[in-house]
Amino acid sequence: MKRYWSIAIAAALMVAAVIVIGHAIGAGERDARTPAAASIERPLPILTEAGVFERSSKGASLKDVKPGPGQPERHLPAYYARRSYPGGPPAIPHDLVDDQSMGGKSCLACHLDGGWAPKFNAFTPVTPHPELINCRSCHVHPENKSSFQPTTFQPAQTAAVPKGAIPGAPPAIPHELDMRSNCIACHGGPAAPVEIRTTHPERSNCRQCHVTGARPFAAFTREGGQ
Amino acid sequence: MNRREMLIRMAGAAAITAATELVPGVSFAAPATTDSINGLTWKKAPCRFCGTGCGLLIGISNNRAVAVKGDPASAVNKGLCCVKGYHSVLALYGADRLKTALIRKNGKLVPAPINEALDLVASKLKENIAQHGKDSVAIYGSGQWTIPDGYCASKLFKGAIGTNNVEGNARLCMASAVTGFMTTFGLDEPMGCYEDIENADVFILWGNNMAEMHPVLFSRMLERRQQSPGTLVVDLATRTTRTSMAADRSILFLPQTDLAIANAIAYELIRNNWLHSTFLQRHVSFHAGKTNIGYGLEDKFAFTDEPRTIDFAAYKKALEDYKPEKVEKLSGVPAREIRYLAGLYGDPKKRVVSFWCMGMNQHTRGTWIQNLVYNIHLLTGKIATPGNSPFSLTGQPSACGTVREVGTLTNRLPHGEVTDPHSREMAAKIWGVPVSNIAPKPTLHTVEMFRALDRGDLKFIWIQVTNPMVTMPKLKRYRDGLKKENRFVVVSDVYPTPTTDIADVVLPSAMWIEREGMFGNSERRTQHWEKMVDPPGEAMSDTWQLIEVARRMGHGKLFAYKPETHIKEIWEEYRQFHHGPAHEMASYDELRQRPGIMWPFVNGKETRWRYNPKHDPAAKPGDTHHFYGKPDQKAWIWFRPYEPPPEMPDKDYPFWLNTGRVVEHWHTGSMTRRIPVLHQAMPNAYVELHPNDAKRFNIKNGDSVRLTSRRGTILLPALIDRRGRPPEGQVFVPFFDESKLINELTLDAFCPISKQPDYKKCAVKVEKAL
Repeated sequence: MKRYWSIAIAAALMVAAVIVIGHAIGAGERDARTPAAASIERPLPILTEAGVFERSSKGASLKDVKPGPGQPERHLPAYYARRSYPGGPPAIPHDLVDDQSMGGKSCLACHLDGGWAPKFNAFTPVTPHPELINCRSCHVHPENKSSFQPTTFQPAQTAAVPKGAIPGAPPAIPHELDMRSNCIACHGGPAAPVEIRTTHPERSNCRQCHVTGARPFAAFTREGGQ
Repeated sequence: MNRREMLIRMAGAAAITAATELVPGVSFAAPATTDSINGLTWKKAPCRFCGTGCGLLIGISNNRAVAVKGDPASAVNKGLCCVKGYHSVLALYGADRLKTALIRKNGKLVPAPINEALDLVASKLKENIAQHGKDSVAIYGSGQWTIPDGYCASKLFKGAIGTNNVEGNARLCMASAVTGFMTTFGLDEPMGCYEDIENADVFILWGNNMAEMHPVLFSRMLERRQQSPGTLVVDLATRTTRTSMAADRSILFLPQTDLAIANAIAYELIRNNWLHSTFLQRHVSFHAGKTNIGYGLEDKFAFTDEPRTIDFAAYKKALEDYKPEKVEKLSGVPAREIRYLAGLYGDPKKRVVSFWCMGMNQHTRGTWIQNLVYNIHLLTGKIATPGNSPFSLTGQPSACGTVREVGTLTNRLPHGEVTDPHSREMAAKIWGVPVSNIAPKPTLHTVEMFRALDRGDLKFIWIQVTNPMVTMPKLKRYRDGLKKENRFVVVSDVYPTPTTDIADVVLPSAMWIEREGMFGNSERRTQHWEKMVDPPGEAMSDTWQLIEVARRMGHGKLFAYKPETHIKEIWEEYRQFHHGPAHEMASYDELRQRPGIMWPFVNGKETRWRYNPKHDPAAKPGDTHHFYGKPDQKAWIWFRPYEPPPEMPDKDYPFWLNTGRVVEHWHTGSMTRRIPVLHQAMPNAYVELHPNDAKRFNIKNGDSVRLTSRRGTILLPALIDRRGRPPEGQVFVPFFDESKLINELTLDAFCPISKQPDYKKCAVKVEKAL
């Protein structure tokens, strides 16, 4: 029992030391007239890593959620049709709820957690970056299908849905992760396109098995090897 | 396909065969080709569009740009773009790209070899100079000129030909920002940087719809608010917009009354003694200039200010006219809201950033309103320290880098004013021309340049990277002027536009990542990109077009750059102009390696806060600030009064017309309208009305509305309570649509000091079209 007490006291002292030292470091950088800027001391997130665990606890609750009878599923062609190229921000395929509002109050009301939207007869896709709330600075709403002048742009090809290297092996990630590092947003739950919906949303650390930069069958070669 | 890619593909094919034999009945995906998302090469470039200067990574495959992502290494946008940035590469691939030169023959533009077109441009230049003198020719470029483009234009026209007829469309966009900086600080460009956003407690947006016009910086500001609760965003504007929706407080004022509001804030700061008195004593002097300064509506209008030094007591006395209750009657802003703003600026615990862009720049008292906002920051000492920043945003990718720093304005040289003998000597030495070549007097600013074409004083104009037949105010006069006999118009562009329509020669330009270049953004950051894909057909960079014409005119010795290394040679020649701690620029090699470098760049260190000795190598140590731009080593507080605009709503034309932009389109839409997703999201211009006005005229969403001013009339579909909402008695129209030219209606009045026109205020009438 005595041992537990000494461990507890040692732990408490360490916490206190961290707090005191942390304050001292922070205070040294402050202008006396003004409060500290919280974000200056905040480490910058690593953009392609930051989102992996976002809302991963929700994964478990998605495990058995599947579209019911009469509830249409999404497929990859529709998913890609909304984008000018793979990785491009998708356009908004439905009327705007409120043309004037910031996304925090309108778009995220549905796209934060998703769910069945009877109005659209569809499951709502979930955003991988809910911290960005000026949604329509990237996502625009087509007014019509007209063309000002035709284009000759050819997008990068969409990646084929990869299979594992051997049967049962986890496929590698075939796309870039910028702005899309939160796997569960697009791959989990009933709104995920069937072709890319994970069978195991409850496993939260996706990238312990799925590596990035899939370059199928690129052979390992030794630099300068015989 | 190179050897390595070939090996990878062969290995892939073999493995598929092997795997298929191993597990019969299971199909394996074909290996990704080099065209797949993984086979791309990513290269860095600043975005082609606005002045924010976001770092992009462009996905290149088989000599084509195929994808975009935000560059996480860029200090500007940290991996995020806006919808224009994400779709920027599509702007290269409109089906009607100009691939050959066009020459007008028998009234029609017909394709011609580019060498024939360049010969014709050179001979027409020579012919006009011989017959009518060197001031009969002009070049008109833009804030989208790369730095080498603008440098070659200035060297050819100011150095070799010897005329100051060099202007950029930035005159229409940020000339008032320049004269604001010059009159208050003696040196151009912001003292702060975007990092001010992460350090500020309060953001006050002066007539600036940032959510649509600078969306990436706006998102950065919202992120700051999310992380630091209590951060305030105040939208001080003439119209309710998407920005107002995100702001903590939205305050509407009547057009032009920002002048009175700024003075009322200063009045309140003094009345409450919310001043930083040691800062004021050490770093500020007080001044006043001419009043009733006119509007430039008449040809050959001239104005020279007569500054005089005053003391604090005289300044304080002049502000007595701007008590909040009095300003309330003029501006429509309740006195308590003015006191609220003064309280935010005056609170010593709050760090304040003021942001503005076209609302303050496109203003017949544009220089004055900049002075007045600087006054507020100077009275409170909230300047040039992290989070305390009056910040002028720009709308073009290199308005700062090219037009302001290279000095492609009639009055400027790459270093200093043409009127300054020392600056002329420096230019003559670096350019290798006799100093007598460089004319000591400014000639035509942009509006006057187009007036001179109309009058016939100017015979030849070369227009590069801009579209004045959409953007000039009071457009009809200037379009008719350019179409007159004996005017020779050369236009370099990437697509057909209303400006190429009236050209005598059209030169096809290589665009953005089809050539090497540099842009300079709003925060003094210079960004380099390499050539990534080949330009189509005979398209040639604007830099190289200028070099080719210079050689044909016999100035080859001054333009002896090699095709492979010309951008490096030009950059290293140009940066000599900025040598010294106040404006030292990074070397070419450093620019290549890094995603943008802020000047002054001394001993490998960027300067984030100018005039702050802790950060700025040009500032004398020993004090909190050193404003070294003015002869008295101080920042200048100016008393500037409210004066009314030249045209206000009346019985015949009872509405204010305000013009501007939308998030989807950039400038005149010549690039963004050719991007399907952007065109479909915003297919045409519209007129925004207040719902009560719409009801009064029985106008419903989509109905056709006729807008008429004293200068012209157009039809536009109505848009009510969608993107934005003007107050009653005002309408708003975006200017991107070449088939609905709102500039047929606008007025060509300008700020007498900056010569920048006011596109935000004129009088119109509204009728429902039947």
